[in-house]
Amino acid sequence: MEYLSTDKILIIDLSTAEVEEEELDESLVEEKIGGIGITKYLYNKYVDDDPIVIGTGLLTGTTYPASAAGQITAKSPVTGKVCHCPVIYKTGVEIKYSGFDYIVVKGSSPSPVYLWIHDGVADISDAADVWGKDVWESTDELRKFVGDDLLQTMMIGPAGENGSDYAQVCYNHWNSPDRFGFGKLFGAKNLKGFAFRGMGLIEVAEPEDYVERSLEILKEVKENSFLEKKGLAQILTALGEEGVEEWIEPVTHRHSADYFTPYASNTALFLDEDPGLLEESKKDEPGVLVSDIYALLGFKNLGLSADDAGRALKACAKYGIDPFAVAELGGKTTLEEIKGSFDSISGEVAIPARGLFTPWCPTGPLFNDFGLEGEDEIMAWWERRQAISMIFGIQPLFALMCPELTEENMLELASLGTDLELTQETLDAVIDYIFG
Amino acid sequence: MNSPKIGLYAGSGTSHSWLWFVDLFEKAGFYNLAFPDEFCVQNDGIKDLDVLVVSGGDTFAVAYSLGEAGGLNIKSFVEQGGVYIGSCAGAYLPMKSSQKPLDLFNFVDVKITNLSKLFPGEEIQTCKSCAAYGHDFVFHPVREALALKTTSFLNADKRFEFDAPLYGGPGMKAHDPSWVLANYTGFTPKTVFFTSHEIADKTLMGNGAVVRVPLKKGCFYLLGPHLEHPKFKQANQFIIDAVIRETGMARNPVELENKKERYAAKEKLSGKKAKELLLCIRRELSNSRIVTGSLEFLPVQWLIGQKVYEPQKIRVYLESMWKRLRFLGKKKVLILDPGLSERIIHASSQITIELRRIKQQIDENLDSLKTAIIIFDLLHILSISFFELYFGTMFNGMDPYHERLKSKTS
Repeated sequence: MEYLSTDKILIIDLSTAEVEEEELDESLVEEKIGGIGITKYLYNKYVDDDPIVIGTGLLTGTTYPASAAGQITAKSPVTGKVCHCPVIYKTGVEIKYSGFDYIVVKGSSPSPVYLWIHDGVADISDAADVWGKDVWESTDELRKFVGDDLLQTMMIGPAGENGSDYAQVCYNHWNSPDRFGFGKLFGAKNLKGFAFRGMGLIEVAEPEDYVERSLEILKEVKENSFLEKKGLAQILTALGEEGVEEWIEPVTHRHSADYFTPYASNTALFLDEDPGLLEESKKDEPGVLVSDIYALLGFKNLGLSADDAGRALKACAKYGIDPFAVAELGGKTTLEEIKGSFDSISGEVAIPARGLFTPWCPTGPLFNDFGLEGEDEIMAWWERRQAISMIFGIQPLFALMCPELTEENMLELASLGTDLELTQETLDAVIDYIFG
Repeated sequence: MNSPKIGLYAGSGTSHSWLWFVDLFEKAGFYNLAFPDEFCVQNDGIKDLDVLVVSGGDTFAVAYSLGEAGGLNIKSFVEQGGVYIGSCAGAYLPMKSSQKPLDLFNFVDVKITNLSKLFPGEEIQTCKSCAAYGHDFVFHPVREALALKTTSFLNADKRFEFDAPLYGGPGMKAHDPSWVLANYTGFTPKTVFFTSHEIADKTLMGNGAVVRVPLKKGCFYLLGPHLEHPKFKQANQFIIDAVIRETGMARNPVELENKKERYAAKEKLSGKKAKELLLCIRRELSNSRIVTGSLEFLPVQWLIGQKVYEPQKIRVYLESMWKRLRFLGKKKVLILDPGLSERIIHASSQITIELRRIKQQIDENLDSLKTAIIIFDLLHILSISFFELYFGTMFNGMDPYHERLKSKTS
């Protein structure tokens, strides 16, 4: 597979420490397109080895708007189903830049390891120095060791190591959309996580046309009035939650976007630093970056102040546990109680529809109505929209906001980028495969 | 007919610009390349060469490393028919000087025009634009691209203009005007001035940019600007034409039997072993590129000898090897001298360690100069070793220059 691709699938067997590479066949892309179309295919191929499959969408890391996402596909220890979790921030694109489109992790390691993926090289590295450390310490340690502050990580913390059902795989220092307990799966495999960095380029079949069409679509996207808004609180307001903006405002420092995503959906809260600071903080831990609207809302609904909610979210990120599950299932109402509850979280978080996609994303459109009516139609649309975003690698929250990101133009760009004829029929078949 | 054997001096004191010569000669089909260091030059290791290239860097450090033995061998090499090509620092080296250790290399009667008895003072704008040169000061009135024009002594019928970048190289006045093959004739929109236009004009314009000085059977080519810079194709061609014109064919054609003997003595790696070696190189080059990318964000530079080094120069070394890895990956057999793979593995992993060390030193505001010196030494060792592997593997057993000429003839 020459275009929009590194042409490589990595197969890692943790039990034998063997690393193999396979070429990504063009025929597989013609059949399954990419993203979770292919991660599911690879999951099924290696199902006997209890695999975790990491992937990227066909458009991930390109100039198509919001092409920020990667994916994790695995069997959830929470639901028992094969589920798909988006990889957001800048981490999703770094997977592809680091030299692999897909990574299959089989088996369990006899001792703790992490996977250092860089420029098409995969190293199984001893994690003795980071095992037992929290997500922040582990990420800092690896960045210091590798000598690069832009290193992108997917790490578990003590929750994953201790086998908590709601252990998350965190991205860099922050909580992730993982509601499936994939962190527990990592821990069971003695896999502390991944570090990604690459300095490669992605080839595009028709580069000029690709960029031109991307920019045309971006221009259309930017005509949306919702792009005047920013951050998590305004999403919650759009969902009908009142008072969140006033509540969070005193600790809000800034909002940031995922790779090439026009809406800044992540909100940085400053807890031990002046939120009005206009220069880079000199403090080691000024605050926390939050991407989980329902976790934030959950802590608000428990009666916490925004400052305490931020501190609870920070503690969850460090421990590597799903903050929504902590808020929803923990039954605690003070910051100290919440911090002490991480090891005793149990119960079930509802996973909507077929249970394939994370309810980290609101289960309906945001800021636009997409012409939908009725709960059934909305839920069917949501599930298809999640599938589409994870096939092509689109930031899944933004996919819910923006009607200009259509299946047609994703297919058009995919065809321009790859020189393959990818049709609506193929896409429909891939979605059937994912839902089946 | 054999391709001329070209030695690219890659020993102490050279900067990254010898890597530009590697690119230039490879593109031109001159694959019979060697990479002598100071020990090789001092120990008669250049006598089989047709051309010796000494690129940019720190003239004093190059002279100090080569020493008296190196100087005598270079002189003897040229007298016996060899072609010396010196670019920038390599051009200063054989000019007459009373300063030690440059006085060991007084081979050509060419004067530097960008030399001042007095410290140039306020008209000189940056530390990069002036350096002590014994009792005098070499100053650099401009950087980047300048316009050059060939003289009638190169070709009376056809003079032509081309651009080449100046990064501290000399303007020259030759004892015999017929030695001058190209003059500085103008500035370009890309020229960056470190002095007034007037001083720059007076120092360079009309003076020699390329000088050829004969010495017995051989000659010295002195290049003020970096004609080998990869973005200046016409200037590159000037060097290629000079090599073809001066060598015609190799002085020391290698007999087939010798070739076979040499090939038999080489180590051949194939299958898993070859893959493992390439993976090891790839791993360490990647690790090094990643740290270097991070260093490039930091406001840091090191003064090593007389030369200022920035992290971007580390990148030039690493990229020169990185971009060639995929071609090696397509070869079924790697051909190398015994012990070379161990040297490559050791040097490449050491570079990663030292780069990670220097990043931490900078992050913690510690002095990093000693580590920088180690890193640039290791980069020299690694790149020399890598190019021995690369050219040994890619072109061993065949001579593309010969093939090219044969196809042209047919």
